[in-house]
Amino acid sequence: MFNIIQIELWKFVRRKKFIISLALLMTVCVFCILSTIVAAPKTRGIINEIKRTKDCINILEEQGNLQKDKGASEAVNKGYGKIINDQKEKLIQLEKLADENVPWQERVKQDISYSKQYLEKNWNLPPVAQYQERINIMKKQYYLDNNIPYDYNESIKSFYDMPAEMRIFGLLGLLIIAGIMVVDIVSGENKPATIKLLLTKPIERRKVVLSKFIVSFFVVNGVILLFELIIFIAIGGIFGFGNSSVPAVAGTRYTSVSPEYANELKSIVIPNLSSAFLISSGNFIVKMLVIQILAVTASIAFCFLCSTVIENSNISTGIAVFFMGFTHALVLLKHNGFMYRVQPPTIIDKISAFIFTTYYDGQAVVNGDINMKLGLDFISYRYVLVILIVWIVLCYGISHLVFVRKDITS
Amino acid sequence: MNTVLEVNNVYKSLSRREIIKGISFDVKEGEIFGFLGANGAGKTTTIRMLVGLIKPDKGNIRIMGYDIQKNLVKALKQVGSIVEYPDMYNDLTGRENLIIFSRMYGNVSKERIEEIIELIGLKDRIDDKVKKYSLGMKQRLGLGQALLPNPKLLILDEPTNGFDPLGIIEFRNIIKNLARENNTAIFISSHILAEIEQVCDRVAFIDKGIIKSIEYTNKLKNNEEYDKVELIVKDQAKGAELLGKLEYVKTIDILDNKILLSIEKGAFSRLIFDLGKNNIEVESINKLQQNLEGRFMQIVEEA
Repeated sequence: MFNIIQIELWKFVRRKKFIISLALLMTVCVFCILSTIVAAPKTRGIINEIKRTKDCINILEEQGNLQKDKGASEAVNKGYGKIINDQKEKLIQLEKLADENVPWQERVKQDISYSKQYLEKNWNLPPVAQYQERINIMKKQYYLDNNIPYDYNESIKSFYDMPAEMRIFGLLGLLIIAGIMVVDIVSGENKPATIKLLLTKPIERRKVVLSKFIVSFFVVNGVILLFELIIFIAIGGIFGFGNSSVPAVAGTRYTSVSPEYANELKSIVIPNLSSAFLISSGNFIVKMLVIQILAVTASIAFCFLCSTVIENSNISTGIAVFFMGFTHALVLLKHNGFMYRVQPPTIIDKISAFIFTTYYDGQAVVNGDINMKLGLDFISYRYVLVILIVWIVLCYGISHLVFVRKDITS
Repeated sequence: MNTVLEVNNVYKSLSRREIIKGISFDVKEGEIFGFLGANGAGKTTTIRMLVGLIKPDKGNIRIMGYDIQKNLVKALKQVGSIVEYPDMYNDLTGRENLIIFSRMYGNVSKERIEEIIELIGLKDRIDDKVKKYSLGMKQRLGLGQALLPNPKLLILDEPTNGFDPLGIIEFRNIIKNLARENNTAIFISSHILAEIEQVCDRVAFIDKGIIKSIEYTNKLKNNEEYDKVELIVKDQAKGAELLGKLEYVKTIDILDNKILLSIEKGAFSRLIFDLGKNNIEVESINKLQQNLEGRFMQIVEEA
């Protein structure tokens, strides 16, 4: 068996599709590193938030003056005044939090107190916004309790940024690239018809098909993990690796509300705060990796099935890439503007919950956001594990049966 | 001689059409066994069953005593084969292809690979990628991979396609040497009848999925009821008139300037005597040997 795996490995890495896929992955890897280096310092951290708040105040003041000049009603002018005051209050708080002369523990305590006051003052906030605020309190309390210094600058660090990098990897079609690597691993043996030579050698067919799958699994996942490791090391080398025990939210469950209340509550599914828990970012990355490896393997298994059932490699490639591209695009469209989704889930959302390409984003699976995106309330980490394993077992099982039993007539 | 390949009452249908209808034959050690048939007669389907690419619906196939339905791996350890066109891994070199296939057999030494490279005459090009090879070179490499395990049974489907004349002679010598020196049983299907006739000890004629006849090639010449004669005379009408009167002449066919005759066996010298006696001016006279082509045509016509 080891001998056949070696042979299949040799053949696998010498294929053109593998080389092209490697180049694609390298491009995505470079894009991830560059986007982090270029974009993050301009958008993240308390200093940028202070700038944005100042800009917001200026714009509101200009608009307020304009309305006044136009002779707007007293109520409108009062409204502008209140919003501007709120923003100014927020600015003062932010500036206090940004003051590095004050010990971080004091600032975090103050921050928690601001958040609590904000929640009391805005008791009618939509449930999703309330949830976000409460999660922030929970996280900051964790920093205090475990004496982990809180970084208000949100500096780039490997451990903090890796989930986002992995998400970009998935967003840019990681599963499709993984599929392309293997989509002709069996059908490619039909033209040229090397399958005739392969299967006339003294090797059991079940071993041939299993060794092809094992090689695909290890090489594709290995290559992807290698590129992610490069990103991790590159960011760590430039900006530092950070602390692997900083908290991240995981496991949030959701409850569906009836469509007539969705507009009022600003969401069709409401997060259940008691279900959420904090885990270390190292643990969070590991959980994401588990989902990623299973999703990539499901993609491999699906392409493997296409490659086994369809003899023509162009057709098998076309069908597999079309299916994955189409479902990936559908999910991407659904994922836009998910913060306040009020529409009930469509049939596509419900079907998406059973398709492996939906789970390209391990971050959304681990923290539970995937429910919000699809407007569903039943997707949990375990559910996704089961769905992906079912895809893998079914696709490989059918491939195995077809390959072992079929007559080679090509 | 021990039997290397036994095919017993094998049936096979593809796409609900019965392609093979109960064929049986065997091939012995050191024997070169030809397999002849028109296109669609069932040659390739039979070969695919012999090497395990497709499974028989009924009957059994044994290689060195191993039933290929039950012990395919053990059976194939004894077999080298080329099925139709020898497609190789084009992105790998000839040597890499041989290494891959040798690993599949598990017990092929590096020396054996070098020996094969020498034997197939690809020493200078063995490290080129296969995609740069001509058809003839691919055929040589295909033969090489089939010979790697020093097989007890060599199954070759149209093996000389793409060979140049020198290549065909070399191939013929390799095959004959293998059978004589290594005692390898060789099963060979080819559409080139002369090729089969020159190398095979026995030939099976297959038509519409049924084996019509299995014959020794050296006995084909004596298999006919009558001798055939080709005759060219100056006065064809006069000649034909005379021939019609001779009791040992059984059939007369006139083809352009030739007269084709079937005569009783042993009557050839009497024919020459009678032609001279009756002043028939003979320009050419030949006794035609029964050959594989004639026998093949006869079987096809009978069918």
